[in-house]
Amino acid sequence: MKKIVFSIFSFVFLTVLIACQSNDVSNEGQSETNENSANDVVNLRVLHSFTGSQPQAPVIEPAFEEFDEEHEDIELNIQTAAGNDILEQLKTEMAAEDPPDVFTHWGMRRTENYIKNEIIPDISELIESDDELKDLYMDGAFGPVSYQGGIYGLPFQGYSYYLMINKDLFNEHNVDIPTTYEELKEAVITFEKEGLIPFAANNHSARYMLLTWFAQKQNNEDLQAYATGEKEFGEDLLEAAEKAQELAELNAFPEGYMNLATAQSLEIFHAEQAPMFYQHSWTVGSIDEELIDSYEVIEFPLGDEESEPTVLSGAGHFIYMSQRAYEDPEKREAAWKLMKKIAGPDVAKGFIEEISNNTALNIDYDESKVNPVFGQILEDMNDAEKVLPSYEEELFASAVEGEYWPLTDSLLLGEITPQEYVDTMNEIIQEHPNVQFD
Amino acid sequence: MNRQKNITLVCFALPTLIFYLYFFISPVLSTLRDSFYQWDGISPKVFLFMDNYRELFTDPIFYQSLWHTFYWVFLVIVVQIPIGFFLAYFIYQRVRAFKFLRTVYFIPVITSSVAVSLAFSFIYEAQFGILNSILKLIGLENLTTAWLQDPATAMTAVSLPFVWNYVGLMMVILYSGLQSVPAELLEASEIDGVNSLQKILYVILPSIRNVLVICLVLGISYAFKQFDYVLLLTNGGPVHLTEVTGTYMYKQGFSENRYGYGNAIAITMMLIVIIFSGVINKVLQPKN
Repeated sequence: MKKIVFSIFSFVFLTVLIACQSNDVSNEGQSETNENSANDVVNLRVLHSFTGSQPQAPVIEPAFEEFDEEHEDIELNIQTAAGNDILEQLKTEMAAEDPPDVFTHWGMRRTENYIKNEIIPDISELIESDDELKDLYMDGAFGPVSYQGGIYGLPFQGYSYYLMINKDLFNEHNVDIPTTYEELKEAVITFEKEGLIPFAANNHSARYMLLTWFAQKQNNEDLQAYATGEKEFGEDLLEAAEKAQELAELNAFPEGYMNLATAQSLEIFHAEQAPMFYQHSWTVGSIDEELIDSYEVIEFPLGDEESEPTVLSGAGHFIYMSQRAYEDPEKREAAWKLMKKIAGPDVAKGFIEEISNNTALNIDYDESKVNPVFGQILEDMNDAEKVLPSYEEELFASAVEGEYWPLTDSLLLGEITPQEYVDTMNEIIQEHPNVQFD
Repeated sequence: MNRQKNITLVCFALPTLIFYLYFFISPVLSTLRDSFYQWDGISPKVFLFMDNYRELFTDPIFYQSLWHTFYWVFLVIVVQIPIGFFLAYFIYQRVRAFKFLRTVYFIPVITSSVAVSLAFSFIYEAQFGILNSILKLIGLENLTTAWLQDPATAMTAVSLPFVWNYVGLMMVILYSGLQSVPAELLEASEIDGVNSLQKILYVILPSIRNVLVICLVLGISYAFKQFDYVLLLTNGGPVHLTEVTGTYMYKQGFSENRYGYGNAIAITMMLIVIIFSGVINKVLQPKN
């Protein structure tokens, strides 16, 4: 009896094992056959996050479709994971050793692990050998995808932080437009007394303010030195942290701002409950056009006399190909064409003219088609004496983000002092220094 | 003949057994194995033996999230099951339209947690939310707050959708238990002159003790594994104020790329649930 039971167990177990393995093999074989047959059509599996109500979807999705139609020899199998959902989707696919052939993602701060593990290839040679790409991108656009001498993606979306005010509310309450932190504080106190929420903000906005005050006293080399741990944060970060915490204490931000979605904070601004709005540029496309005459983009107030006007801006989103696609000559060629399409002038033009979104490319566009608020942002960026990358978007190592966000929330909620914030930031950077410049 | 019968039985049981081993036992074993490693999901695994557990037992955020999860367990015992019982008892009285009410009470169970979270986020929203608007309308403006950010209210606010969501499930389980209470027993108690409260306490509850155990075990395991409401409403924030073990485990794995540590949290949670279930079974099991 025991023998029979054991035999049956073994037989079924082996059958399951073999079935699973043969299934894998047959799948691989099948996909290869599919690719090589049908007139040598190359199949590319694409994963991107610009779908549904994402502001970039009206430009990105048609671009993929157009590419698919233009290339009979390439077939795109497009998968989407809207917004931040792509983080988990991509991680799961990478962990399952089944990366998409082409995908969009943020820079090194979220792809460092894939680069280190050679899942994303160095495409420096492809870039250098392609004349079409010469001078196409803005200065520093490859910064977030440069890692230890290699370049790993093509930039297509830019970012900047902008301060927008409601002029009517400033006039109505006789408040001067602030140019310094002290003036800003006075404006905040006045608006608060008048029953308005001074800033239509969430915790992201508050972090961006802190970063901007800090950056006003730095240059690019300083920022890198802090991120790599060469220099320790000190007085400048302390002062920026004090300002952010003070604003929170003055009730400059809405009640419940920690859990407020960015789109919700914009609604507070639209509802004329708040006269100021400091945010990431992806929000520009969502600004209510009926109220646009009341809005004006202004320079971010200077922290103190030593501060210089600074715009935090750079490249934020990139398109990558996987190492597996890179190793297959046909796929590499097809993937490269697709990457150039998405990180190309047509998409960039669409970004500026159609959806009021920053791009990472140097391109000409029709100024009459540009949203007035976005036009002011572009003008400010062009006129700015100092444009620096944001720590958050570019320079912090990927492991820093998970600790730095809640730490800044603690600061804003008054759970830690600005000095504790600086000390802890130094500890975090020592533990996770940026190594992309090594 | 007997041998033949045994072989047939084994043949019938085997597919289910293999299915169970492959899809239930094997993931638990692989979670246990991975909890001894440092692994980011991509790089080669590094064997740490007990280091993940050592770190876990000195991690203040883990204890904070565990404490919040115990708060959920408390709500299951004190709010969810009692409300589920009273709804079940209400329907058991065959009130008018009890079938319709039974369906209505069960609807939250089959509603997507995303939809529920969205509805509750509209309720709690500090500026335009329904709750604060109503409080302002009725002159209780001093009670308005940022429900999901205020340390005094955040954890309870984020727990309510979970409690509300599973009340219907508890009701259905308890309702089926109530139907199994012998009518003669109830009649006999009524002849003996018990009042309604005595009937519930001394006749009905002891009769459905096994069903209560099921409700408790289910409620506790749901409390430990549930994390979608927290993730969707607050993402555990601000500053871990609403963190529960489920969200902490998820974040360690998927946000921080610390799958080994995340697995150590999962194994610890599993052990706690097993201990809880064992104690409940032991304590509430009838003596005879």
